[in-house]
Order: sequence, then C-alpha cells, then structure tokens
Amino acid sequence: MNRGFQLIICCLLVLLIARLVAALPLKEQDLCKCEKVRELSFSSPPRQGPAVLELQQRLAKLGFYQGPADGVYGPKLAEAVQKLRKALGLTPGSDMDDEAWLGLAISEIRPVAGSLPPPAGEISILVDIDALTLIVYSDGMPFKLYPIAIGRYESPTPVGEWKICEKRAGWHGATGVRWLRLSNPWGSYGIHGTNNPNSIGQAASAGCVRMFNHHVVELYDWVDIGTPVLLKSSRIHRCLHSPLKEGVIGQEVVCLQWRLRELGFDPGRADGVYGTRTAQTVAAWQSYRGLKATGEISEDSLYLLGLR
Amino acid sequence: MIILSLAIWSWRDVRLRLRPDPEAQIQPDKQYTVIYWDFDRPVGGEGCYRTELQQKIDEFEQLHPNIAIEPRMFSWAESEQVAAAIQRRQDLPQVLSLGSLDLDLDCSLFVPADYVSAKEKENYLPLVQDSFQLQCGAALWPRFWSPQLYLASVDLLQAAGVSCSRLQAEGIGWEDLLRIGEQLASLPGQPSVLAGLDFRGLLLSLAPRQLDQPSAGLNAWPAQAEDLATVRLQQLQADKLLPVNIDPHKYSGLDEFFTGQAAFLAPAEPWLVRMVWERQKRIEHGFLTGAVKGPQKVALIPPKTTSVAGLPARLEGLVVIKEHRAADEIRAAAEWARYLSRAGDLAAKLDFLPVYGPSSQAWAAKWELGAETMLLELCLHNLRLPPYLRHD
Repeated sequence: MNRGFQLIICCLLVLLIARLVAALPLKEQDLCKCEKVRELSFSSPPRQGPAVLELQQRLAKLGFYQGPADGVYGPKLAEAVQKLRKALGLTPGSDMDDEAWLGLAISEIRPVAGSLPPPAGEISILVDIDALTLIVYSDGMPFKLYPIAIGRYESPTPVGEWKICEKRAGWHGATGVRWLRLSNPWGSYGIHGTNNPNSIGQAASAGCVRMFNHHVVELYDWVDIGTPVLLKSSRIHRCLHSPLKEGVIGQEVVCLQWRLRELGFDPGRADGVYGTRTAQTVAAWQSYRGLKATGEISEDSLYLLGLR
Repeated sequence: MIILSLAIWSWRDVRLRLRPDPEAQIQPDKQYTVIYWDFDRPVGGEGCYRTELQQKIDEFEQLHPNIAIEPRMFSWAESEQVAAAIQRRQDLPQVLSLGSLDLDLDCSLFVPADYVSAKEKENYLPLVQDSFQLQCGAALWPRFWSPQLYLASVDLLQAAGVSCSRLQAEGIGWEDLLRIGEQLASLPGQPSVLAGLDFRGLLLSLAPRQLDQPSAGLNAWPAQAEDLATVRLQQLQADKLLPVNIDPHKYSGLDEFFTGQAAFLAPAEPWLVRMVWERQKRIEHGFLTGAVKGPQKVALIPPKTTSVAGLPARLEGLVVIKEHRAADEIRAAAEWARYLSRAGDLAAKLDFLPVYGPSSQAWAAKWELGAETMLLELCLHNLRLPPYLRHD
C-alpha cells in the first residue's frame, strides 16, 4: 500500500473519530488540573527540544512527517502539522494547539495489540507505583497489565484503597480521552489518558495515573463506578510525625491503617480517613497492648507502631 | 420456707465441694463434644488466629478421634459479655481461654487446682510451676507468658562504661539505675537513664522487689510501693537524672530512647522488643525515611528478682468448667486444655513466650533473636513467675 493512500485512510479515520469525540464535551473544571495543556508552534528562531522531537516521532508514525528526527520545529514539521490540521478539519495553521493535540491523540488510538475479550469476573485494579504498572484483576486473578506514568517526586501519586467514583469519556487535553476519578478524599486524582504519551513509564504527572489513550479506552469499558482500586508503593514507608485522631484525612492515615492491618487488626479500607472505625481499631490495639485506649495516635503511639 | 432455704444452701455447699475425679478416663467408645471459648487475637502479617486455632483443633481431633472441639470466638472487646454469660451459668463452655477476662468469676465453676497432677506439670518451664492455679483455688493450664524486661541501648551503656553482659547476668535494680544514671550524666547531652510506656508503673515495678513483697501484677501494687515510687521519682529528678518538670502520668521518654538519648526502655514485653527490632530493620532497608536512627544495638536486661517477688510478667491460661458434666467429659475437656497449653508454636505469632519447655526451641527459631536467646534461657531457667493472680 503506498504512503499516500495510507495517509488518506488515516485522515478519514481521524475526522470520523474527532467528530464523535467532539460530541462529548467535558467541563474543564470537573477534572483534575494535574497536567498542562501543551502548545507548540512554528517560530523564528525555531523551537527545539524533546517535546518537538516527540511530536516529530508521533507525526512520522502516522505518515504526516517525513523529515529528520532532530527536535527542531522547522518548516517540514510545520508542513506536517498543517497536513494534520487539514485532515482533522481544523482551521488552517501550523500550531499544535489543544484541538490539534486531541486530533493527534485520537488518531493514535488503535486496537490494543493482543486485545482480550472483556474480563468476565469481578474487576479490581492494582496500581503498582514502584513498577509503573496498572494491573487489572478479574476475580482476583491478574488479567491484563498496562504501563503507566505516575506522580513526580514533588507531587507523588497517593497510595491507598479507593474506588472509581466517576467515569468521563471525551477529550480534555491533558487527561486524554478518558477519565476515571478515584474516591480519594483529599484531592482530585484519577486514572486517565494523556496528551504526552512519551511520558508513560516515567514519574511525570502531578499525581494522577496516566495511561496511553488506547489503553485507557479499553480499561474504561471494563470498569464500573465502584470498582476497587489499590495504589501501592514501598516509598510510602516514611516516618510519620503528626499526632492523628478522628477527623484527620490524608496519606498519613493510610500509612496508619496499613500498619494496623499488618499487626493483625482490621481498620477496614485504607482510605486515608480517620473515621470511627479507625479510631475503634486504634483503641483495640491500645487495649490489647495494655496501653490507655484513647483511640488517638500520639507521638508515643507512632513509635510503638514502628511508624516513627 | 426456712427448711427449703437450708436445703438449697446445703446443696450449693455440697456442689461446691464436689470435685471431679482426676482419675476418670475418656471412654473409647463414647463420642465427646468439647465447647471451647476463646478470644480472637491479632496475628501479624497474613496470619489469622482462627485459622491457626483450627489447625490445632484438627491436630487434636486426629489424636483423639472421639473428641470433637467446637470453638466459639469472641472479639477482644466482648470480655464483659463473656464474663456475664459465665456468671449467668447459661450455655457454658467446657474450656475457656481467659484472654482479657478479669478473674472476678465464680471459681466454683472450674475444676480445682488439685485436678492437675504433678506429672502433668512435668516439662513445663520452672517459672510457671507455681502458676497452675488461680488465686481462688481453681486449676489453670498456663498457655503463654510475657516477661516485662528492660531494653537497653548498648551503645549508650558502652559509652558510659557500663558492662551490658554483666547486667544481663545479674539483672538490674534500683541502685544500678542510680549508678548508671550518674555515669550517663557525664556524657554529652546528658542522656536520661529511663524511658517507659508507663513511667510511674515502671518505677512501681522496681518497688516490690526492694520491699521483698510478692507482686500482684502491675495493677495491684502495695501502698508502700506507691510511696516508694514517688520518693524515687523525686530522687531521680533531684539527681537530675530525669527532667524536673515532667508529669509522671504523661511522661514516657520514648522519644529520648528512640533517638538514642535514654539508656533503658521498660517494661519491654516481647511485642515491644519485636517492634524496636523491626524498626531498626526498616530504617536499615531505607524505609521510614526521616526517622532518627536511635540505638544501633539493643539488649534485653532482666530486673533483679528475689525468690519471693518473681519476675514481673503477664500470663494467660485456660480453665476447665466442671458444671453439669460427668467425670469423663471433664477429662475430655481437660485433655484439650492440656494440648492447647503445650502448643507453643502459636506463642511466637502472638508475641508471647511458650510455657511448655519443648516448645521454647521452636519459639526461639521463629523469633530469630540470636543473642537474645541467651537471655530467654536465663529467663526460662533462673527466674520464676509470681503465682497467677490476675490478668493485667
């Protein structure tokens, strides 16, 4: 098949999907603001860097760009962006704005290699932050593994046990084509697609779990509201300082809940909420160990739990 | 009416005096069902106490095919309800694990202490030989025990020129604490001598041995011990071995111990020792980032004891209920109590020590204590527990 024919087919597909996606507008304020909307344009002197290189590679894969992969936003890349925009039915130009990124992401959606029929059992999700993977379980058995990007050092992905509490389909530049919100009580975190697929496999996000768009499209259809999601990392074993008591919400509470479970007590789901059940479990631990059963975690208790 | 009352009173008296025949045998062609009540306990990691207990039941039933054990588990918080059920004498179990029960129970329900023969006590650790009976005279099958020791920062003691091995061999007493406190005071930062979960209780724990009086457990110190503890606290503060402005009911000094600024942590029970040990391992492996490393090396030190005072410790055991049961049925229940009493492998998982001698090797291996095994041996053979009076 010659390259021209391939390009035409590709453009038609892009147009069709773009129209479909455009019919599903998302409210920007509802989603996490964890990613920046990227804009690249042709300028003098030309822009250059890894972001430009990534764009060259992605457009080359789709047959729009045939120039060198040198990371420079030169005339050939501008021409390729013009072709892309034309194929997408966008206003003429050579800028990669939000609409162009959407079109590019949509055009990259393809059947997942070795795609499986939907899992038949009860679905749960494990996000292994250390391994940069998301594993879908069906009836407790691993079903499929996906590569992901996780939070940067300064904005780590939270760990804990939550559920999918919202599903949104549609394009929102930074979060790609699908959004699955986690029921994390202290922030707006989710599992979503991306406008920066080269970041997958890296600690690159502002805390969300980032997937390839074609992967999150597949995952989206398998999960329902209420699907349990476990996010784990060994990096969480850090020293705790603050005294904790009923009403406190946060990552430190998850650490406490997991530690209580390690010691054989049952605080329920490690959701980071120091509620009545956590307080009762703390009191049970204190009582069992001959300590005053206050239900609160003092600094001494942190030592005795091995958390400090 | 008077005659009826007298008859009821007499019958009660007779019943209390009725003693089950310790020579009664299990009938090989009779099927027995032993109802067993226990409290669910936390088992760390992936473990589950119910599963562990069921394993023991399976083992026992294989040995005794005509005895079936029917367990009923209660949560740790249900002690009061269990005690009330026992007092009502309705649906009584045949074997009861005392767990966290306060022993304010009617002991006439239980088989008496002389039901347990001298032969049955063989191979139990010397330190529990006096603990086969409750204060009220009922028989107790001891199950686990937990010594209350001193955990020493070896680094700090070495810096102060104190021989840790000598302390381990001889134990530590009040005079030793004062002397070591003075030696520590010459070190930079003037480290404290003591830290404890319950600082006043810690000082109290030293008092009975000085008074040479039997200990009744941490919650039942004689009034003289209270006074002595207060005097000692004041002395420690006057000698500047403790901060002057502390409230002994709130001060623990844990922060000082875990940051390497206190020489001893007490009372240190096995669970706390394991916690300190785990903490060190986690820090070594790069977890618990931001934590102050604290003592690099720790050692267990026993308190100085006299033949009267014994080693401060917590002990758990089992009682057999004789109410409405034939002698052979009581024997079947007692067999189960004896079997469970000797199943020491559960002790390590629950952070207790086993009471039955042959189980202690398996315990030491599971705990991977290394040098601390030496101290365990010391505890097992040289010390003795006070008679079982109450569960703390």
